[in-house]
Amino acid sequence: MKTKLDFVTNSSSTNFCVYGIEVKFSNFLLMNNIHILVYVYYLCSPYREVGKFPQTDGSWKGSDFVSMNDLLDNTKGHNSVLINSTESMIRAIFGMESIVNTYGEIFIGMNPFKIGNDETGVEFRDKVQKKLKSLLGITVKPYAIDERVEY
Amino acid sequence: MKAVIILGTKIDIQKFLEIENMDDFVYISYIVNPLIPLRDFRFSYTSRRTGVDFPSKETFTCPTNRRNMVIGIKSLLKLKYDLFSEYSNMMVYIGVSPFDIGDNETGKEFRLRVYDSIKEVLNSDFEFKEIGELVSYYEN
Repeated sequence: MKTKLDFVTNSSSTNFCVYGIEVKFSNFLLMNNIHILVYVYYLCSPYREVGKFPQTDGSWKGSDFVSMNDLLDNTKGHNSVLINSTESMIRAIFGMESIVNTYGEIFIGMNPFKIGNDETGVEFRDKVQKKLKSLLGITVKPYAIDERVEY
Repeated sequence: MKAVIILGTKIDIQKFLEIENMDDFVYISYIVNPLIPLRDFRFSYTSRRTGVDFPSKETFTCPTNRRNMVIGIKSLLKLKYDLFSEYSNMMVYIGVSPFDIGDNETGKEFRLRVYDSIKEVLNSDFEFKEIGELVSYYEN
């Protein structure tokens, strides 16, 4: 599930529902050196196989991984790897949900269905705001995001 | 298409209307709610209003005319039970958006509130779950 609640309607769109914020993906990568975290996560994940290409004799040719500059360069054709690595890193390290749409925007936040039994609405909203501030330095007040995302 | 994201349930519209007196409640909610476009004003050639056409109960409940019925259902559930509802593909979705949890309401209190409200409407067991679906408007 592209997070999100398991309601993928077809292969190219999904609905994404979080309490969070939306920023330009390119700007996001530069916040608090996020791009380094993304790159480290990429190196540690199966996505690093992107640089290897199968040969006719069954062997693999190419480097095990692409460089950070190549990964971040949107002309190098690694966009899906970059996006997958970013979304996985945010889930694993930040404990938040995210999705990047085709317009180059990233939505980040927390699923409101996951509010704890003993957590109040205001505590949940404060938690999201504090996370965004401490992890990304974002001071914008989060809001309800209910987006149909094409990707 | 519209996303329905709620904590709640979905029920076949026919079963929903078979709940005791539900069709009457829905009809009344449709008729009395001043906020909904229920008054089908007829205009003469001089553009003067010539009358108000309230649908009869029979017209209202006709399966081929679900639009008014859906307005009635939404109105009833919102005004009487403070529940969100949507209709698509013969199913009525009933619940509350998870974004609508109160500031001082805990997750447990929120889930219990929604469950109790739906229980009051349906008056029977139902599957209580997180729903996230893209639905079409008034699709049969």
